[in-house]
Amino acid sequence: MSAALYELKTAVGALLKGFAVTFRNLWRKPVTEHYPDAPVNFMPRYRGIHVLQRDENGLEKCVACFLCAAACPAQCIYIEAAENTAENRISAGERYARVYNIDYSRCIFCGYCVESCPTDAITHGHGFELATYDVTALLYRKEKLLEPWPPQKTSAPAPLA
Amino acid sequence: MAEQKQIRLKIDDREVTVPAGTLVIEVAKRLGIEVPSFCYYPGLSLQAACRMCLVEVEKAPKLQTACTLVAVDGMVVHTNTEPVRKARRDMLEFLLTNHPLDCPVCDKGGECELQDMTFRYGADSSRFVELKVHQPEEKWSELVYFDMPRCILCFRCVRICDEGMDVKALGVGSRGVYSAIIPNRGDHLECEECGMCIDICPVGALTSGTYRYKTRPWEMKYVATPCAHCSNGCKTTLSVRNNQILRANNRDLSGFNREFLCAKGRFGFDFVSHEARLKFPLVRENGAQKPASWEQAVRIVAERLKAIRDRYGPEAIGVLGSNRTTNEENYLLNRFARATLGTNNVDHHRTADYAGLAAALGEEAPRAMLRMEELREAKAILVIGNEPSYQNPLVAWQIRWAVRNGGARLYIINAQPIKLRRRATCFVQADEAEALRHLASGGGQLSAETRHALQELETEIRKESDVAIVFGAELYAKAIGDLVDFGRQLNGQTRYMALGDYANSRGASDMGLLPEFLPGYERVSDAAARERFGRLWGTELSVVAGLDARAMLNEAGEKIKALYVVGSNPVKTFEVPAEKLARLELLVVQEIFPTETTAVADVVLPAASAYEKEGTFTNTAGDLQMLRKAVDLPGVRSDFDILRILAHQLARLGLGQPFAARTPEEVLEEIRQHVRGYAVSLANLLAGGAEPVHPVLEADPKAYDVPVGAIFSSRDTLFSSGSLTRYLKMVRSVNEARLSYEELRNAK
Ligand code: SF4
Ligand code: SF4
Ligand code: SF4
Ligand code: SF4
Ligand code: SF4
Ligand code: FES
Repeated sequence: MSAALYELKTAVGALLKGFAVTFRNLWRKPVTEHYPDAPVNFMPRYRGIHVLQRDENGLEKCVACFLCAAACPAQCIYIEAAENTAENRISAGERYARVYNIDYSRCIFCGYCVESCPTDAITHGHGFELATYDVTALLYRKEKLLEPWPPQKTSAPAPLA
Repeated sequence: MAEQKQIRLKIDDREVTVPAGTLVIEVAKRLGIEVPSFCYYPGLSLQAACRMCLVEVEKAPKLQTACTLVAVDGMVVHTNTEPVRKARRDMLEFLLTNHPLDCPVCDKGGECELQDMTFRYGADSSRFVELKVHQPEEKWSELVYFDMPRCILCFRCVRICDEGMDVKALGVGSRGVYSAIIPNRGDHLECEECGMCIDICPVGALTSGTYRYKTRPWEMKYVATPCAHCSNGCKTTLSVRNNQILRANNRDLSGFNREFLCAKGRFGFDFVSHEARLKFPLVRENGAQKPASWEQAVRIVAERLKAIRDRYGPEAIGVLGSNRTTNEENYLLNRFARATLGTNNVDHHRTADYAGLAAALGEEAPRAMLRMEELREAKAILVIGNEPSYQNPLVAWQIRWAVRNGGARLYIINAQPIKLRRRATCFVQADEAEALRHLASGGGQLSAETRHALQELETEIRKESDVAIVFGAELYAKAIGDLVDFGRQLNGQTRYMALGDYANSRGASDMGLLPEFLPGYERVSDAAARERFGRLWGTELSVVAGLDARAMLNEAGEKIKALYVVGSNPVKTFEVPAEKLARLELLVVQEIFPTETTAVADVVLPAASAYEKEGTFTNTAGDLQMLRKAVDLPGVRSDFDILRILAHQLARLGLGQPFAARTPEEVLEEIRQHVRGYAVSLANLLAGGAEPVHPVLEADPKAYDVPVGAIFSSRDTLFSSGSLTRYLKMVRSVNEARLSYEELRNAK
């Protein structure tokens, strides 16, 4: 008898404990992301598809120093450098990246490139929709990675200082 | 030389014995102790400008600069004490006062001595908060750029240009923080454009017009291979990225040229990717050259060669070889001509009388051939003819080195006031061959004045011993005999170097691209030699005397019905009218670029350049070196492959044997076994070293039977390289390239 009573007491106790959590959370804001019906909310340091930043004059920040490519453990960054001229000024330094590719079939989103960049040119954006049926489409070219100019409201968040 | 006195000293508690007079920085290097330095450069005068090499010497009141401190007996040196470390930190802080530290865009980033030193010895922050002095970058020439803020004023560039190059184009202007290196024409350079200053600059202050902002050092692979241009055989390190050569320099200092490269070796690699390169075979059809496949082209060449041979006999075919193809290719071409086609009409543009020299020296050859490396150690040098500063830049560099660092005496006999005379003990302006006749036998047609000057030179040179003699194409045949006769009268072991024009001029000669010689200068008229090579090549060799290049060209369309040309442009070099060649029944040219000769060819076969193939080159001094393939060009084939394919095709038509060797290494093996003087050790060669070759000939008076005009130099300058000249965009871009040979010389 006393054994059955004890059984009941623990069961009800556990239920109450569980529901207490449920009830407490009933009044909290839901964390569920309604993707794809609603945009996803990211933590600021989320490491998504890269964004190549521009400076306040719209020039590309990247000076093609190749440090990101050297730091990349997956070796997925490919750069070809060229020299800025008075007529064709792309970046503020002497050199700019004529070609800048990231191969997302290899990128592991480790963030080393961002860490190594001396000009804060490469940053992680919050883009993540990479799925494709065509693996070659995972090779993103500079044009696709660059922050649009003039700036658009919907673009990726500003780089982390 | 007398045994040098040895002294003992102690560095960082390690005892060491060195010859008296050694600098402390060199002693430390020998012990494997690093003493950081910027301005010190072995072989250049001491500057003590950067104060980076400070060390502590016991009993000395202050820190001492190791680069100027001569080691003395009993000295006790410390290189890693707190005062030394602090001095290094402070020196670097000073050096960085005005330094922009724009490493991410600086071309030197990744291979910068200042970066490395700061990383290893520098402080992590600077106490200077003042605004940095800045100057915009300056373009001194198409090839040399200067970024003043990055300069650390080590004066290496000034010294290498003055002492090393004898150009003196760089100097220092202003004082204090405004001190800057300035070029000789104020805002631009007029110089030899060697780029030595760029290479020797420890930082990114001097940058190269060809390489600027293209990539970074760790992105490239490095291929060290002999230079494709002149006959001196400098090792140039090609920096390759994505199948493209982006620069050439002397990164590993592994060649006998060490840090030296002239403008062609440093900037003359761009012909490789020139858009005019021949990329597919051309076959003439109804008067016009049309693109063809390799199969078609080779089949046509084989069929027509066979038909001409059947109709007119093998003597109706002539073969003209190249100064730029490898030894293996030359050897195969020789076989192709003599064994496959059966003709002795084989020759090339001879630019020096290597055969004459070998014959004159006879048994003495192994001792009497002067190697390129030995030239810089020579104590007495006699230069006859040629203009080494422009035609053989490394030779001139070695001579300057010997004079500067070894105190060598330099004697010159030249019809022209060549540039090297500025360093000469004695210079006589006279016709070279006449002067030699005079020296050897007292004859010669010379003015009394010249004779007197020569006598003075002779008196002086007879006091010397172990004279190194360097001579140009002015001396050939009998004159070389005179030279060697004269050399034998001198004290000690006289050594000789003949100066040719192109990367493998010597190899073409050694491999027997000469009508009367089989490989290794064995005479065609010698039955035993014919028999031996005949057995090796699977056929009986013809004994009919061959025509030389000029005779073949003169007979074009007459006795000669077909001409097979490899990497040569006879229309230009031998000045034969193109119409004359057009009269041939068949003209086949293997070339890398369109030339005046390919224009009239019936079949043009696109060949790979020296940077696109493997094999060996022999430089003018007889240093054998291996080529390393740096890049690939689709469409072309190496001359080696072309000859192999053609021999195979001809064998199918019943002419000759196919070549069994499939790689240049296999042919090298055959050369090592069968060509006189080429039995070199492979180990050193494979490791990138140079091996001396010196064919020994029996003394042979026939060697002096060289027709007038058979041996001549193209007189290339620092900015020209035979038929490649017009495709050297970067080298040709400088103002100096537009000067003629005479103007260039007189500009100095
Ligand atoms: S993104 Fe940054 S690290 Fe990468 S090349 Fe450009 S500047 Fe250098
Ligand atoms: S010279 Fe060296 S330290 Fe100076 S910016 Fe260039 S790489 Fe950096
Ligand atoms: S390129 Fe050569 S010759 Fe010209 S300034 Fe530099 S070191 Fe002197
Ligand atoms: S330019 Fe370079 S080599 Fe010349 S003084 Fe300056 S740092 Fe030295
Ligand atoms: S001296 Fe001759 S071999 Fe040396 S870099 Fe110049 S052209 Fe090339
Ligand atoms: S290396 Fe000694 S002072 Fe510069």
